[in-house]
Amino acid sequence: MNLTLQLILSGAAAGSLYALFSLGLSFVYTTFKHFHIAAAASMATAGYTAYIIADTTDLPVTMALAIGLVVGIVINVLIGTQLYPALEKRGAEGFVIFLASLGAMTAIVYLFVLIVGSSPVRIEQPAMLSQRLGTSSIGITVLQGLAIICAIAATLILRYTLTSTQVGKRILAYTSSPNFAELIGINTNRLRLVTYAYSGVLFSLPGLYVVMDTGITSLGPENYFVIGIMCTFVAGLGNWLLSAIIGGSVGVIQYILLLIVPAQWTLAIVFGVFLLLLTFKTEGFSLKAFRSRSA
Amino acid sequence: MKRTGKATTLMAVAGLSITMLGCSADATGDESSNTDTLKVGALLPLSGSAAPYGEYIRDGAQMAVDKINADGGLNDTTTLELEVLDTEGMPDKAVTQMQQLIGDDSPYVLSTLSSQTLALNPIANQNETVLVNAGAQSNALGVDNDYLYNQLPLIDDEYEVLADQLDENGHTTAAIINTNDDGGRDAASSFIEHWESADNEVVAHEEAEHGTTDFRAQLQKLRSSDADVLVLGIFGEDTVDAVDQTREIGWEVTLANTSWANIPQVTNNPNAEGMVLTTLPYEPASSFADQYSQNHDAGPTIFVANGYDAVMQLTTVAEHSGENTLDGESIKLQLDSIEEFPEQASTSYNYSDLGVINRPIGTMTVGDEE
Repeated sequence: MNLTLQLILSGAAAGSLYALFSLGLSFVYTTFKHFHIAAAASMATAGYTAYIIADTTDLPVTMALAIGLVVGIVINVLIGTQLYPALEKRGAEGFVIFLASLGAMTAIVYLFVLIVGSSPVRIEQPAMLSQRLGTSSIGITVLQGLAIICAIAATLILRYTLTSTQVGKRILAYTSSPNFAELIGINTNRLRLVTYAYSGVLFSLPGLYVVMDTGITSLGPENYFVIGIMCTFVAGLGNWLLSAIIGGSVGVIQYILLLIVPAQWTLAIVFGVFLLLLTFKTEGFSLKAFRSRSA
Repeated sequence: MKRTGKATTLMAVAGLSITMLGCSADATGDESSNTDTLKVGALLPLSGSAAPYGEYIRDGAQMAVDKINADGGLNDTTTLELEVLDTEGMPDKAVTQMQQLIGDDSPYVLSTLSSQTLALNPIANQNETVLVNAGAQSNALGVDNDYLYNQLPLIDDEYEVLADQLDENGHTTAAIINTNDDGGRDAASSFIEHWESADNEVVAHEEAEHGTTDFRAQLQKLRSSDADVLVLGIFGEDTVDAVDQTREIGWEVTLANTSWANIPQVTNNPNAEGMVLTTLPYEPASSFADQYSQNHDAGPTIFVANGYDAVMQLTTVAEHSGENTLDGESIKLQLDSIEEFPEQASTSYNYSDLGVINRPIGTMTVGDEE
C-alpha cells in the first residue's frame, strides 16, 4: 500500500512536467493551428541558460533560475512572433512551419550542447527544495511538490484567462475564426505575444526543474516534446484542458505500471496504449463538454 | 617510321621514369611512416558520464608517449604518435572512429567501456589490430578476443569478492539495480551467481536505461523489498545520482558497488558513507606518481596507470621483437609470449590466456578511515 501511494505521488510529480508541456503545446495548437516543436528549444534554453549563469557567475541560484526563465520565454516569443509570421507571410503553412520549427529546435538545442557539452548539466538545488515532505516511507521533495502546484496553477490560470479576461476572449475569438477576428480589429500580434509568452512559461518551467533535478541533456527536451505531442493528439487537437490532464496521468500511470512491469517498459507501454487509442479513435478524446465549458 | 619509333621509345622511357619515381616516392613514404612513427590510437569517452575515465587513460597514455619519445623512441628508432578521439561512450561512434584509425595504419588502439570495447573487438580481430582495454570489465571481454588485452580483471572476479565481503558483513538479502548495457547486465548476473551460491537471497532486481540520471522509479520499487543491501551495477558518475536518490527517497540501506564507483565523486559524497566497494589496490611507482603529480592536483588513479602501462608495454614488445617495424600481428605475438612486463606505473604484470591481466582485488568501506 505504501509503495502504491509513493508511486502515485512520484508519478504525479513527473506527470506535472508532462502536463505543463502538453498544456503549452495544446494551447499553441488551439490558437494558431500548428505544432510548435520549438517548444523543446524554450525548455532547453531555460535550463541551459540557468546552468551557464550559475556556473559562470557569482549570482545566487534563484537569480540564475529567474534569468533562465526569462530567456526561455523570450526565445519562445521570438520564434512565435518573428519566425512563424515571417514564414506565413511568404505563404508557408502546415508542413513548412513544422519543418522550420523542427530546425529552430535542433539549432538552439545543439548550440547549447556545443557550449556546455553533451553530458548532463546540473545546478545544485537550494537545500530548501531538496527537503523531503511526508513520512519516512511516503513523501516527495519540496521541488516535486512545487512542480505539482505549478502544473495545477498553470492550468487554472489559463482557464481563468480564457474565460474571464478580455485577452482570453479575444484568443478564443481568433481560435474560432482568425479571419473574422482580424476583420473586427483584434490585434493578432498581441495575441501571438500573449500566447507565446504564456506557453513559454509552461515550457521553461520543466527546463528549470530538470536542470535542478537529474540534469539537462540535449535529449531531455525532445523527450518532453514527444510525450507532450502524444498527449495533445490523444486529448484531441485543440483540447488543452484534457491534454494537461492526460499529461499528468501519463506520469502516474508510468509509475503505477512499475508494480507489474520493469521500469524500462513503462513508457513503452504508455505509448503503446496511446497508439491503440489513436488507432480506434483517430480524432482523440475531443470531449465537447470540456471544450464548451472551458469556452 | 623511324621518327615514330623514336617517339615511342622516348614515351616509354618517360613513362618508366615516372613509374619508378612514383614507386620510389611510395617506398620513401612507407618507410618513413613504418620505421619512424607508430601511430597509437585511443578511442575514449571524453564527454558524457564516463569522461573522467577517458581523461585518466588519455593522460596516462600521453605521459608514456612523451617519455618514450624523449628517450629516443622504441628501440631508439620509432617514435610514437598518439591520436585520441572522443567516442562520447557511444559504441557506434567508436566503430566509425576505429575504421578511421585502421585506415590511418594504426596497429595499436586503446579503449575503455564494455559496450564500446565489445563493439570494437570483432573489427580489431578482422584487421589484426591490437586493442588494449584500459578500463572495461564485462565478462564478455574474456572470450573471442584474439587481439584484445584487458588491463583490469573481469567484473565477475570483482563481484565474487564483493559477494564474499557482504556475506562476511552479515547481510543476507540484496536488491540490485543495474544499467541495461553489457557491463551493467554482467554486473547483475555475476553478483546474483556469487550471492546465491553463498545461500543468500536476491529479493528484488531492476534495470535502468544506460545513460539515465533518474533512478527514482526503480529505487522506490526496490525499497519495498526490504533488502538489507542495495547493489548498484552502475558505472562511474552515474553512481552518484543513484546514491543521492536512494537517500532522497528516505532509504537508509547499505550500498555496494565495485571499483566502478571508486572515484572521488562517489567516495567524497556524504550520502555514500558506509558503501562497500571492491578496490583494485595498486602502489604507483614513485617516479610515475611524482611525474603525474607535477601537472595534477591528485595522485594518479589506476586508470591513469593503465593508460600509461598500455603504451609503455610497447617498449618491452619492441625490445623482445627486435624489429623496427611493428604491426598488429607482431605486437600480438609478443604480448602473448612475454611472461612478465616489468614495473612501469606500478608492479610487474602479465596477461592470462584469456588476455586478462592478473591483478589482486580488495574491498573498502566509504568513510572508514582504515
